[in-house]
Amino acid sequence: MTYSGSTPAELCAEKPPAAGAERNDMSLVEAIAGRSDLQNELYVRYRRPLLQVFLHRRIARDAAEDLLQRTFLQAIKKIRTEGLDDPSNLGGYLYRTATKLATAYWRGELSHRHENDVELLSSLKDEALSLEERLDHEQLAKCVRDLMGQLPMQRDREVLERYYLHEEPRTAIRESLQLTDMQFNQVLWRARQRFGDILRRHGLADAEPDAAQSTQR
Amino acid sequence: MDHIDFKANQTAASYVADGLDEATQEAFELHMMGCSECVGDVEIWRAIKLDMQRSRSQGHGATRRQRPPAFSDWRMAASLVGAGVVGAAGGWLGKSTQVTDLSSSRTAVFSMSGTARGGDECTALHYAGDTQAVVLRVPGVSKDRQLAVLDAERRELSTGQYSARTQSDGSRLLRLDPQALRNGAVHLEARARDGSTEPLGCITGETARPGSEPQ
Repeated sequence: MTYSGSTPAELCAEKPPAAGAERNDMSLVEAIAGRSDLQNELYVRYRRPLLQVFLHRRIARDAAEDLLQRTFLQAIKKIRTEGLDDPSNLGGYLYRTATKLATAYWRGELSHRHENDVELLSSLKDEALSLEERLDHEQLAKCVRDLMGQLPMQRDREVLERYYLHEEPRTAIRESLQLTDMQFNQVLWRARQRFGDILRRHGLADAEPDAAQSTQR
Repeated sequence: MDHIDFKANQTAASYVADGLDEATQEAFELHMMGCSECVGDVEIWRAIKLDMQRSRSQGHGATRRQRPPAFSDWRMAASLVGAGVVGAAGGWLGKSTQVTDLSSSRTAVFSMSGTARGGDECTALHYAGDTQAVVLRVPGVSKDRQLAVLDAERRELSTGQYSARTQSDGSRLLRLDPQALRNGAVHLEARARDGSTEPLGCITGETARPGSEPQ
């Protein structure tokens, strides 16, 4: 991770990574339109973020897979028929398509399941898979247990439990523990750092996202 | 906001905790489309959150063996396997049958917590293989909304497969045919008269051999 060893404050001093996403999107759209092998890059680049968009909308994984497939097929079809208004913003188009499909899903407007392309899914490269898909569940569970056991302060454990287990609002936790916004962020930052260390100690460093692959905007 | 702001504000952590306002969420999700580092952070926080919820579920399982079951959390579900606690269903099954089937082990009763409803994955209800009715208490459904149950294909179950009624405390008591749960995940939603819906979560059924320890 680019911010290993940096505090949140130091992060602010770092320069933002160079952007190349727009150019990448344009070449990817061209590849899809031209049916070249490069079109598989569509899944590599966008499957993981779109999966999170669906999971965040409380869509179960199997249904999310179905919606992912629909999202990509809609995009490919549009690129090959009408084309995109702004080919440099393929990510934005996919995002809008995904959120509309998620809404339609919850409204019950997607009456039948789409046939997933099993061959495609099984041939996805590791880099297109999410952390949970790449790691054994037991391994991941052990890492989380280690994290909770290794947090230096009881207060840090309490913050994580109240935030993620009991789903209390951030402000309520902050007020009851008398934490400033920055202190709250530091608790999260420490936990995130420590979890990265634990993954590495378990030999799962590869499971960490590779910042070098980022195409931040 | 740009990448540095998102990192400095621990936006990925807040995103997973549902702690972002609508505009920030949209901005962050759009940013994620081009930032594998932030996607990675989200994946990690989501893994932590899900595992904490799973651990709690298992923790309840351990506690279960040491004390009588409580009815406050549907994660105690397995403790009710074979318990036949029909009487705990708030009289829904009829006052005339207050002790009905308590010894028959054919009805499993669960209570659904707000946390479980908000989970990202379906929650499994564990009950004995010979269970004939699953009763689920669903709190926090607005009075002007109807509780509907959909199958994995998002089709509403037939009236013979489930029924629901409102209890005096405002919660809904849902009675399900276990067969409906054997066909995959079942989704609950609250429907308003104007057609809008609110997802209430999803459940699956897992049967255990009679007499065996629930998982």
